[in-house]
Amino acid sequence: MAGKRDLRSKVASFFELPGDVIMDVARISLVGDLELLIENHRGVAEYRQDRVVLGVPRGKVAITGDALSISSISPDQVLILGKIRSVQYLD
Amino acid sequence: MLKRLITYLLGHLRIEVRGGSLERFLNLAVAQGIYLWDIERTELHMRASIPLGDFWALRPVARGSHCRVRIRGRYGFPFIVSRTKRRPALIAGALVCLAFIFWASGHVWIIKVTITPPQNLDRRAVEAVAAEAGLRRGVWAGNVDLKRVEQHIQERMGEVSWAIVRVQGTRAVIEIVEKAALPRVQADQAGCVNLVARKQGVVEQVIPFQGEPVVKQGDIVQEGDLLVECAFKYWEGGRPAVFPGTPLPPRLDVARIVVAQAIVRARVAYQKYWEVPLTQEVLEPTGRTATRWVLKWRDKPIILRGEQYPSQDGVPFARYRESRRTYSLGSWRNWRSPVELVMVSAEEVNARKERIPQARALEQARERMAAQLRWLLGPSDQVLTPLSAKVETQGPDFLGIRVSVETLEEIAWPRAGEPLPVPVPPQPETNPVRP
Repeated sequence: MAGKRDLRSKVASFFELPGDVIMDVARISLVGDLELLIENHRGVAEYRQDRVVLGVPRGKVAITGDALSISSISPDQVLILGKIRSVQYLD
Repeated sequence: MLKRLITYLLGHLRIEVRGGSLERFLNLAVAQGIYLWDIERTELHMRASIPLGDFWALRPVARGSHCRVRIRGRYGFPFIVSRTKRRPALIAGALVCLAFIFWASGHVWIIKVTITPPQNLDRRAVEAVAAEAGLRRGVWAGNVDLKRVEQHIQERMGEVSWAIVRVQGTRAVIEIVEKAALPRVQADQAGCVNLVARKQGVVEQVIPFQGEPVVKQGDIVQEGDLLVECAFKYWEGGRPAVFPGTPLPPRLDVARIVVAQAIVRARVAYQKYWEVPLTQEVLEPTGRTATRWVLKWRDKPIILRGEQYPSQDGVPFARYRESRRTYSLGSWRNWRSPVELVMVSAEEVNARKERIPQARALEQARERMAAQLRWLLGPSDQVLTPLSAKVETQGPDFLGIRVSVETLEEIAWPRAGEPLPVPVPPQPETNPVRP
């Protein structure tokens, strides 16, 4: 599995392609500390006002902050609004 | 924005989810393809918005996550329609209101009359004459024949030179141009219009109809010289009984203005000097073309085909010939379609300098003179001599050419003169009655 990911990483690097196109990983976009967009997620693991945990292909991502809310959710992407303090990968 | 509009049109619900696993509820809903937004979490429950059509698909989701779902709000167009259906009077009122607006906006409620100076006419008189032709307050705008109103005003009111009538919404505007006032003369005088020369020339022919000619064949006249003086006299050669386009002969007792009438033809010489360049630019297409399709939303261009180049209005060539076609949805009243498709095709050209022979330069000068003569000469005027072009000066890249020509033109031009004393008509002799 790790070998396959290395190969994809090399292909993406060789052809100068964005990593999320070739590799099965999440794409996380942060707008200041107000808005966070996660593409290619694997569902919601935990949803509280101060903490949201989302499943991603290589584990989980925990977002902590204040007054967090899921602005929209679809099979492809999740948009989180609120005062974002940290984004952390969990194994 | 579009998504919000669609959800508004299709309707959406605000739901409250309690109990069970709320995260599992979210994941199952997403797996079912249900779009959720504005998801708020509190300690006890979660609130979210869903499309109206997806509500019944939530039942297996709620069962699977052991949650209870309640509707807390209904929003969007379908709910407005259902609420309005229960209030027929409101619908009827809205329809009556719309019908009233349509009815009221189709009528003329304001009539504005503008009159140019000297404004001897009364606005109320103009309104009354317009009303005779069908333009009055409260009339349906579609029933007003604007051309007929204009004609009627011009026919009925002698003081009007011309009139324009237009309808703008519920307002009709009548613009009146009054005839210029005649010069004021005393009771025993008549206005006078002489004929003067409008160009310098040699008189060739004088055909007087009314008045006293002061020039004869062979005379040299300057611009502004008097040709025919106004007088209560007709040429004895015989004035036609009806001469088209001329006023009726003045009568001594009622004449207020006396106009000299005559045809005066003269030979007029023209000379013009032009410097004609000896090189001309020839444009040759290179074969390269660039096409661009631009969709314009108001003034914002969206390029559908082709590229936006920084220079030359989006065309990648330094010199080019452009053909432009614009397609629009048209217009209605004061509405214009905000969307239009502009198809621009540019053909690259190369400019090349070419030297032209002297004969061609002379021909060009003659053509320019002929073009000017077409503007200067009237329908009865004629060119007497062929256009002669002579080279006067010669530069490295130009030729100074003088073109001369002689024409036979009518040169008489009316000009107001001093008022004319009206002679007292001879009174019939009365014999004393003898007792």
